[in-house]
Amino acid sequence: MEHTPESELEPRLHRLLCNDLSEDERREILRVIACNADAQQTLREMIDVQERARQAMGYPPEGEEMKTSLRKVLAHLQGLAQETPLSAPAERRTKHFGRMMYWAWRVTVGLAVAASLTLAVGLYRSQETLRQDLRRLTDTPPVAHLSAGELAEYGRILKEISDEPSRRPWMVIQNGTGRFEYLPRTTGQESGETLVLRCILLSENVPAPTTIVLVLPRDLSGRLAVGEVGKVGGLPVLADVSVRDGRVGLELSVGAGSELQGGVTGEVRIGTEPTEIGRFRANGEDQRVIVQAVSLRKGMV
Amino acid sequence: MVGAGDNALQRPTDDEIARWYPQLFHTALRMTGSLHHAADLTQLAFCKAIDGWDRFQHQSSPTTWLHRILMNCIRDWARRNAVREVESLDEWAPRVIPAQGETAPQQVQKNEELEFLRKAIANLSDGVREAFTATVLDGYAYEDAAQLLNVPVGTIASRVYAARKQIHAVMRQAFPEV
Repeated sequence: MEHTPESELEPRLHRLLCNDLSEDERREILRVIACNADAQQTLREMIDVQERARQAMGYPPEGEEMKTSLRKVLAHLQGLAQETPLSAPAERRTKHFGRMMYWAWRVTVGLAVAASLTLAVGLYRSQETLRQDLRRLTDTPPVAHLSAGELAEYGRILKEISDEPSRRPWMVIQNGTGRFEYLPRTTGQESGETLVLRCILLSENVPAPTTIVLVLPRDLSGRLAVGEVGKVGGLPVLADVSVRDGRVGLELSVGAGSELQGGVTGEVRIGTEPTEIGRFRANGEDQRVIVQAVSLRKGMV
Repeated sequence: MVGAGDNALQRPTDDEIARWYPQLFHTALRMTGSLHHAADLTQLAFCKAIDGWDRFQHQSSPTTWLHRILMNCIRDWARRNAVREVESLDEWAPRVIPAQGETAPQQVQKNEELEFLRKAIANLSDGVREAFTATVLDGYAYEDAAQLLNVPVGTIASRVYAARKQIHAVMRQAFPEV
């Protein structure tokens, strides 16, 4: 029977679909899905097939009957845990509570049961919730396009800082500060076009995104090791850039050496919408990397 | 998940039970065709398992152990209630669960399309259909389905993949919006 490479991921996607993953496992697989269009397509197909097939066979949506019987099982478990710890099954001691102690114990058990029931029943996630997760993962969050004014401003800055007309500068800007350097001298034909590459690092718990702008010649040959382009959570962000066939390849990493926290590699087509190229985790925060690349003709700089 | 060794005597956590519950509930529902009986029998199976957790040998996964207990509960229930159909039931035969309560008008409109899909599921080969029922319909993990159906995990993965591709092709005809 056919067994495709695609199906290697499917057991994990299936467990995600059936809510059979721990929170850490769930976060990990969602991260994989976020960066993998094939996985997104497969998961959509799996959700569609499961929903329709269950509907066809008469499986009801998760109903109150199941939740009620689950609550009774959890209450049974809580009661047992309070009375007879499994670790000492042969030594079931009789408890001699005073009246006060007895009621205090009952109240404590009641509170524990209520809390754990809320927690456990809350574990259920409907497929609609999973669809929302998928949408959240696959849709690039709304990010403003680079405006004509911003592009003109970056072009003007690059022109002003370049004091050697025979050499080609590039620059990186974060939070209003930047640095510039020159590319190595080449003998090839130069188009004179400039590329503005903006990376936005978004984190759910950090209200202000980190924005890094790279301005460099579009006809860059080979890879440009930009080095440190800014900081996230106090850690250095390092970048490598390449430009080829109308696409910009970008490799970002956070931290360095033994403190390397994570990174992302992806590419975007020049002149398209801001696009999420991936996400990574640094300092306990998920960072989404959204990139837009725009080319400026010679006369605009 | 509860493992062998030092933790062997620990009962499952609430989170684990909440994760396992829907799969077994779906199996009970498919076999009994009744929400009420499915709820009672799943609850009974879990309570029996929790009471006897120290007898769990950890040679199989907790889910497959729970499944065996559930099957015993279902068979006992069927005998007590003289439900002959259930006594001879194939554990993994997909069955249409009768609608509970009133049928929504839009459901009636969809019946023809859903019948198309039911036929597609019925037309799957035996092994493929069993794997599809255990995983996609009832919701068991591939590893658990492999133990329950006594085949390697890779076979389950291949069969479910084949089933999904066949069903999805049919869905595209039946539900143009897919």
